[in-house]
Amino acid sequence: MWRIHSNSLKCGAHPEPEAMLDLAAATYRHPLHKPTLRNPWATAPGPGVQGVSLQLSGGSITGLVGPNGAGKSTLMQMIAGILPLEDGSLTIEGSGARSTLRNVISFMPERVNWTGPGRVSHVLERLCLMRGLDLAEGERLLELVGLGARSSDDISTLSQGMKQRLSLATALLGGPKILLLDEPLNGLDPVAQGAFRVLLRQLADQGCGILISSHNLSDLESLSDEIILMHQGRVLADGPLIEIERKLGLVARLEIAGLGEAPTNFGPSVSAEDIPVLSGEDWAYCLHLEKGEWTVDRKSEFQSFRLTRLQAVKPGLENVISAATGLDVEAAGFEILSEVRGDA
Amino acid sequence: MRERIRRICAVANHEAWRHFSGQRMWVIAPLVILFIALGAWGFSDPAFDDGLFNVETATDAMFLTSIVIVVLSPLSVVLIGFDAISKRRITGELAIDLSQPMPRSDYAISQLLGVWGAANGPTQLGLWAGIVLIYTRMGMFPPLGDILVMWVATMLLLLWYSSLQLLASSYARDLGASVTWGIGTWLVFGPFLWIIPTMVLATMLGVDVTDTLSVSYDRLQERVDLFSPNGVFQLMLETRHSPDQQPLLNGAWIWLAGLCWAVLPSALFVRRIQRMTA
Repeated sequence: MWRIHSNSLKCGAHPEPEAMLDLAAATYRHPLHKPTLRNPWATAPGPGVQGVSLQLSGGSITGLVGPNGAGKSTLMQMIAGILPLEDGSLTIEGSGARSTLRNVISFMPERVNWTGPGRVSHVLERLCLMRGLDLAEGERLLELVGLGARSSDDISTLSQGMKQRLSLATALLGGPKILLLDEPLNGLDPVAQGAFRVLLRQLADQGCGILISSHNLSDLESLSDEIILMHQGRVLADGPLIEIERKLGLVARLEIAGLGEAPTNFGPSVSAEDIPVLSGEDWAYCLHLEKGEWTVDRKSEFQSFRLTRLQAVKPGLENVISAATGLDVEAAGFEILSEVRGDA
Repeated sequence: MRERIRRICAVANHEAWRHFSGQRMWVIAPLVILFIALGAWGFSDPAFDDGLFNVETATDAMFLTSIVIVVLSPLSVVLIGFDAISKRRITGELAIDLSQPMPRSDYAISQLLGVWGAANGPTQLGLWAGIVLIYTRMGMFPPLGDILVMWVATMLLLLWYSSLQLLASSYARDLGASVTWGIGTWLVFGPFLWIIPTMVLATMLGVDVTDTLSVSYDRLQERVDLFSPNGVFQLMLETRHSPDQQPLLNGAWIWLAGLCWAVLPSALFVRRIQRMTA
């Protein structure tokens, strides 16, 4: 059980003005070992993040989305101070001092495999000691994420979902102004995911700026105020998801399917694309309505068949990546599929 | 500064208890305590005479007990500390640690002190139990100065190996590599293998290696021993011997080497953590 009380969240509840994180033209490339005869330890710059700029304001939730190898985790680690900036700058409320940044930025890595020996409470005790916080703060956060009853249990007895909650508790220590969450929904059951969303919204409402990464657009759609779309270490697009979709021409699409004779005329400026037919259907189309409209009158033209499917199409990540990069949907989809399999 | 030291000590204490309460300590601690104590018991036997060492005083018995310490205690450090950094790196915990506001140098020192503290537990227990056993069998304690040197040298030995092991653990990409580095270091500096570089160097410098009791060989061996933590440990203890058995090297060089062994690997480890990218 997650216990969420508005007065129990410290995140962003500072008297200071709202946090504003400014990352400008940040670059980090992972070093790849390229041994040579002269220098067996030689490295060369490999993949990473190149020239990424973003701003996070207090009270907003920003979704970071992109396929495998897009640079989402690298970017988060750069902001968290784990990876150095090769180029560019990072400031929060005008200060670029690392010690200041680490005091106000918290990071929850993807899938921390907490292991023993030790009790669940030991994890937070240790981090409280590192931060100079009261040990009771750790207990309070364990209660908050629903692990209060497990605080005396050995860490190795926790399920992956519980370990995710423990990671979240560690990220909330010290009331961060900026919260970086790398794939936080992985491993959580639907109930926990729902509670997690409520918790994040409460944190944001109290002034915390949240950057949350996912490869699943639908995860972020209802949660994020803005989306940053990354691909191959660069930002492809940013802003509210609906605006990105509109810019990329991914709105106003309708799936229709039915029985009987397939329609041939959908009206002027409406294009139709064949899509896979499901069981019990004779035909199926995706209608692109960006430039035209499909009215009730036009619907009446469909007299010789019966509609079995009529639904608006929500673009997946592969559609967005495909539209933004010019890759075909299969190629973009393969990148995302490989990420999903990697996470499984 | 005071707050900083307090925080380092608090984290180190937490780490030490974590290592100390781990399952592997159930095996390490009894072995280390028993072997050191039993070594002291055996070497303080009035009938003990292996033809090479003649035990006449409590200090002699304590000095011989150091052979058990120099073999077992560094091994205990390897077994306690091999996964101190590498395991956290693999599980992802290190990323959380490195993103904390605690300065990385302080974090590194606390990890070092944590492993050192945990390793000190069984060794110190064994050592003090051994001193009591020496008294029981010989009816005399070693002089306080000798005990103090033994105590300090033992703690330094554990510190040197702790920093070497943590350095290895921070570089290792998997747990197996970390153990291999640790065991490899223990073997190279161990009493059996360190003789090889000594012999090679002696041959290269034209010192007669067939007469290991000669002054020229002794002098060279002592100098080579300064480059081994085990060697420095033994030389520190030998400074308490009677004048005719003391090292030919000036004691200041020996303690300076001890200081270097305490500072250099630790500084390398701190630097490594400061530059680490999880």
